[in-house]
Amino acid sequence: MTEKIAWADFAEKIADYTGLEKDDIRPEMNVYYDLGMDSLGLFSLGMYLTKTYEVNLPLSAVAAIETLESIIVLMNRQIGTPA
Amino acid sequence: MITPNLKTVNELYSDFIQRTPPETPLFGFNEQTITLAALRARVDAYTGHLARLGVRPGVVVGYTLPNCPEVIYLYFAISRLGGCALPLYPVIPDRGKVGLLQRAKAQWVVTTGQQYASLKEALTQAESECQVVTVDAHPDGGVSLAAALPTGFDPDSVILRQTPPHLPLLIAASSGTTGTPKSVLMTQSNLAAEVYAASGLVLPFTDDCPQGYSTAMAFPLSTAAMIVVSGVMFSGVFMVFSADVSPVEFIKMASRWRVDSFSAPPAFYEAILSLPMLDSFDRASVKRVLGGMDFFSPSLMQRLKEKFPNLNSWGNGYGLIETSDVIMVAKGPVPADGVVPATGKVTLVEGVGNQIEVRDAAGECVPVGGEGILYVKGPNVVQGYLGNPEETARSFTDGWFCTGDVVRNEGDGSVTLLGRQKHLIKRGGKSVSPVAVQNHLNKLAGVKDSAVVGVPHPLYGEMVWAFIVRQAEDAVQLKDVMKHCRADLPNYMVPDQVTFVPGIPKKPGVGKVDVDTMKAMALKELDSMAGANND
Repeated sequence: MTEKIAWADFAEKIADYTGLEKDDIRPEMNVYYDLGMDSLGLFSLGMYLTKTYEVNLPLSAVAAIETLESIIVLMNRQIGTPA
Repeated sequence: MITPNLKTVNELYSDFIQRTPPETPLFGFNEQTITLAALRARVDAYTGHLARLGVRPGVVVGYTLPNCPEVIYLYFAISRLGGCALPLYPVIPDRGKVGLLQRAKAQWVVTTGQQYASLKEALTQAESECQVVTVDAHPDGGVSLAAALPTGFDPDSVILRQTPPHLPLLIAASSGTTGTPKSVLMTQSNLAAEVYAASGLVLPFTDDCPQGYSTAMAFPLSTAAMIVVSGVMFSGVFMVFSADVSPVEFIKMASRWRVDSFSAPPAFYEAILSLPMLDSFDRASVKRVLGGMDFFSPSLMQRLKEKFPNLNSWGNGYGLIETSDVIMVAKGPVPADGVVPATGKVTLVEGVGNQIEVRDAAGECVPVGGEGILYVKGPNVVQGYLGNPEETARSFTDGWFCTGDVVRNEGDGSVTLLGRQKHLIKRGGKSVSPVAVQNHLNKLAGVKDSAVVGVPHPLYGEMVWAFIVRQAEDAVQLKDVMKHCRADLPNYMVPDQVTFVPGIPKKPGVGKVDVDTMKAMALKELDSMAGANND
């Protein structure tokens, strides 16, 4: 993947994975407190996003972050990075 | 009725042939009806042949046969002489059969003329002294059980006068889902108890058909399933089976005999429903479905009801080879809309003498509503594993057998099965029952079938990985699954990963869910991600 990921599309994917409505997904959402995930849940979300966007995403970096915004920022930073 | 004070299979057999009119039809095989008189004649003949071969207490007789009435004759003939049967599922490769025969020190093995040469060769290669007998013409002129016996032969002169209850009668091997296959020795009294327990599964359904009913059997006879077959037969249920246990043959046979019930593992029902020609058969006679080995999912029951509109009840058995098969049963009505709640609740069959306890990790009994491991004690429970004292000591204590199944104690001899202890998913310090998650997934409209496994992760314990079969590709999406799960399940039970698959991998034979294959699929995916994403 070479194009940056738009928030609207990202929010839709997060909605798919969490079962929440797309309109309820906000960048500042904390994956632990707002989405009720644990570290394994976040890892799993990272796996799902990696598969969906075919982005070379360091999963350990995903594990270290807490908000949805941090995830999309990290993913967009990774886009275009050689594998 | 079966008299509950009979303690051996031989007593049950004698009682059955005395109280049953000779012309009573017992079972249908292909297009043939076998009456009690026909069964007795063949059992007597087999008894005579086996007696001449020296079958007596302590002698093990293996058999590997396609589905045919001869399996039933052979089982009772071996029993009446005090011998021990070793059923060998025909699909096992010959070398595997020879290994089992050697381990059991079998002196004889019975097969068909067609299978004779390859089995003989495998035995010769292994330098086994086990001799091969055939049920039809013997290619090498050896012993054939179809040969005529000398005139005037009296079977009563060779059978046991008194059968000790603890005499070994059948060796059964587990299907190996718990690792290495383990063999157990079931005694005359274990198998007599099983006749009563199996009748607890089939007899309640005679209420709406006092004249008796019929059932098409999909369980292969040349396996430990024979022990349930004898329970069904002694209960007066007319069984129908065919040589070929394929779904197509099964449905043809069921339709031909207009059976009012099916007996098959849930996976087999799925196969039946997938048959394109199913609609062309007369399905009106089928009123009940009986199962074993796995749960009926609500989706399966609903789809069965759509295809078999007169379906009104279901029954399912729970047991392990260590409990000589079925000891607990579940049953219920199938309403007009086919909606049956997802349940793994099973109840101990009364009057057999088995007891259950649900114990926690410290070995203390848990109160009603608590979860723990199911323990069983009683006449169905075998003594231990053959040639495996370590495993026997681990699983059998003071007559109590540790099933390794995690259950919720529902009181009054009932438990809800939550899964195998070894299959419980340890996720973030919590134990997740894959069966509970699976039952929840199966409630979602559009989900045809599902299975849930724990997939180890080096850092985070185990992930809850769901495999889902959809009724149609657009029937359900990831979002629907997650919404459904997050609405009702605690977070730690919500699947971490969902993989949509065309079918749940099943093991050959009776169709147990193949947990190992699913774990391997998940690990492969996990590995590919890790490989692509290592820092």
